[in-house]
Amino acid sequence: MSQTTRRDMLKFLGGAALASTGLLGKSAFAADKAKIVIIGGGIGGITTAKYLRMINKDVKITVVEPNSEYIFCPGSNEVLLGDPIADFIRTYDHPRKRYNFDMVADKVASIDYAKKSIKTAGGTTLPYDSLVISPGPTFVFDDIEGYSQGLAETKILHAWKAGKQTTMLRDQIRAMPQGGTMVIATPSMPFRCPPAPYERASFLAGWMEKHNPKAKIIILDKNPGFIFQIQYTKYWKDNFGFGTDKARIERISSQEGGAVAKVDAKNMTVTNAHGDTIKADVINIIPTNQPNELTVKSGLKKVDFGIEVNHHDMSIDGHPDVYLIGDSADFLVKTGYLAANQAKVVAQAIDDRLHGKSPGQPIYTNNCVAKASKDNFGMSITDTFRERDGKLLLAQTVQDPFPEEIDNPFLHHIRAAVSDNWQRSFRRAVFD
Amino acid sequence: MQKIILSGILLALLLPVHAEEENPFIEKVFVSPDTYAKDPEVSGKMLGDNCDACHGTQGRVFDEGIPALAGIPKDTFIKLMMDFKAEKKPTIIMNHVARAFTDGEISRMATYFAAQPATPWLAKKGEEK
Amino acid sequence: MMKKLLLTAILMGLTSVTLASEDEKASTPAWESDAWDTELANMPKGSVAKGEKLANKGYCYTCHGEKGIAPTGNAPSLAGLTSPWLYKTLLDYKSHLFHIDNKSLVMEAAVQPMSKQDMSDIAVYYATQKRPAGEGKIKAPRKVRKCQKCHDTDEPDEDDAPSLLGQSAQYIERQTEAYKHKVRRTEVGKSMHKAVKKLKKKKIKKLADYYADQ
Repeated sequence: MSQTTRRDMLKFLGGAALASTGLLGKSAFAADKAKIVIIGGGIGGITTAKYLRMINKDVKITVVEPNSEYIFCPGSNEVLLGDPIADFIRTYDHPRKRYNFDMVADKVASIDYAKKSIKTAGGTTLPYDSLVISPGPTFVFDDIEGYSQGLAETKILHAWKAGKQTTMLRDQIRAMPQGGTMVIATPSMPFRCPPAPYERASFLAGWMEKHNPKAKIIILDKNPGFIFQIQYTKYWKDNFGFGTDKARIERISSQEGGAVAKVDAKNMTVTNAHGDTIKADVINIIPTNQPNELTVKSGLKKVDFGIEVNHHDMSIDGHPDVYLIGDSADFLVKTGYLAANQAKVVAQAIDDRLHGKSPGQPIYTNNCVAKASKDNFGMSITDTFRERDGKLLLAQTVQDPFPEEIDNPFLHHIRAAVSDNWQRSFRRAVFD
Repeated sequence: MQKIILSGILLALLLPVHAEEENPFIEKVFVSPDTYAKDPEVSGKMLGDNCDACHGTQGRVFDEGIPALAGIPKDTFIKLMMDFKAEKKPTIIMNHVARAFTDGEISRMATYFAAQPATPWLAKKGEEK
Repeated sequence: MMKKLLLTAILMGLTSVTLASEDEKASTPAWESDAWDTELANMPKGSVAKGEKLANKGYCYTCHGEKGIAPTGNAPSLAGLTSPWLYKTLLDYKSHLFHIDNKSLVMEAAVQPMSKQDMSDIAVYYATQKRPAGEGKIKAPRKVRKCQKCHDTDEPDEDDAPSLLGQSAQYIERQTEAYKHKVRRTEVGKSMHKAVKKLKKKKIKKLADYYADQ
């Protein structure tokens, strides 16, 4: 076989990058290799597999994930404006080959911590030496009268996990009658991606300005305030008459009865905590986010912001070699950014333990982005979390731009471009 | 700037809010990194890994506006980060990112990134040096 | 630190914001010599002082360094380039003619709020800064004679190509590759594509390293 043909063949097999990095080689999957099982093929799960493989050629890694592809949530609000959802879809072929892990296409039914094994819905039992749980949150529907998972998949969409619902919601918005009303209802904190409901409202109000100028968005908020409130309020006042009679965005905070108590899908109405009923053409209810049912069902302890973990290495006290990361873990802020950085801490901890060392000192940053307008208003948050004695310390949180900077238009365009840049780099950091 | 070193600070973010329209998100918390100077060291790799989301795996994204970090000479990296940390000029985000790290951490990050190959993480065969 | 952040608030009045539509991005035509001559003749007179303020307000220094000397190879140094060249580059970003890959997007975004006056001010500011200087240790590769015809003068020459002296090697390599592969098509008159299409990767790197060292 000539050089070129061999190279082309490798490329065809998706092995070009793999062969060139020399990361993996052909590692022998001997029976005594440590078995690492990862529940969930999202940002947390794939980052764990990738970063563990980067530092350890030998372990056997298995990711259990029912879906055949992953759709990134960061960027899904742009899909509502017409960006192709294909930009946000990643298949598992590339990371699976480059980082040499197996995938089991199934849901996890139960975990047996004592026997150190998991069982899938399809009946497969997978023993593990280390288990990483990263399954995302479970959405709760029964805290709102008249709401259900079935409704959320057909008519009263949440689109809080990027996918079919995202494009369905986009189509609902496009089909709205002129001068119609859209309701976006938030759950109480903490929930996945704290600025996203407000970004969604802000993007769509901008879209409506062009396509449905008399339409209106009402945010029914189960929270008293929200992240980037100063920045969003400023942008909405400047662009959407926020706070006036003709506002394109209206927000009803929790103090004003913003929590949704009831939804009537037939008549397309929502009733808030104060008993006021609002009729709408599109109702987008973001359901309450809870730690994944698998974690609760398997007896893990729920605390304020998720399942209790030791923040030194994201392990579960009393369950040796079990780690929990992502939206289900006890972390007030639920972002993909943090899930990825938790994953890196876990990858390091697993490798340290395999080498008989105790896991090193972690740090968790969440330097994340949001936008008020797709092209010309970006924002960022800078969170730094440190750890002492297994407990998390908030060392820094800042929301940019500061009010003093908001009137500098040079920054908004750059910030929006940096936001997009972050989305692309982040997808690559996880899957490439 | 106020120094808060309570793990319970997180709780404050969700405490019931009584004042009308009060935001449960703390707008600004900044604890000087020197507070943690005597804690066990965070390794250069662990620190560097935290930069990947923007700067690419091992700091190796070369075709984006956010700059690659791989291969930056140690002194250059330290100078840049120390200037950010001192908030010499306003930045998009880096001043706030940098000021959360101790000088030692910045130095370890610099060593880590200087040691990474200055080639794209996803280089095609033949492009890697 | 708050005071420093306040800097941004005290600066000049705002300019109008226009965004190119998707169609505009795809169809920006390359320059005709006559069109560029007219454009250049109409370039507003720039103010160095205003340009300095704008370079701060626009956060140019974040990538291009203090006084236009880039701190790393990720963005070019701007100090000492000619003002027509800098002005044209800003125009090309605004029209999206200068789009190589995602790396161009931040500049394409950054110039959107700028008027032609703003661009001229920024251009003259950077043009008056002292260019970066290398160590001058690398011997000139043979091929350099061809480049020299246009590129390595320290004399500001309005019609000429930019000086490459002291420029970041990474930047020279990236741009040469972009011309070679016809991704960059911002030239007026002489074709950079024709000039570099036969240059191999290694040769380009050698030339870039030489120029960076000058």
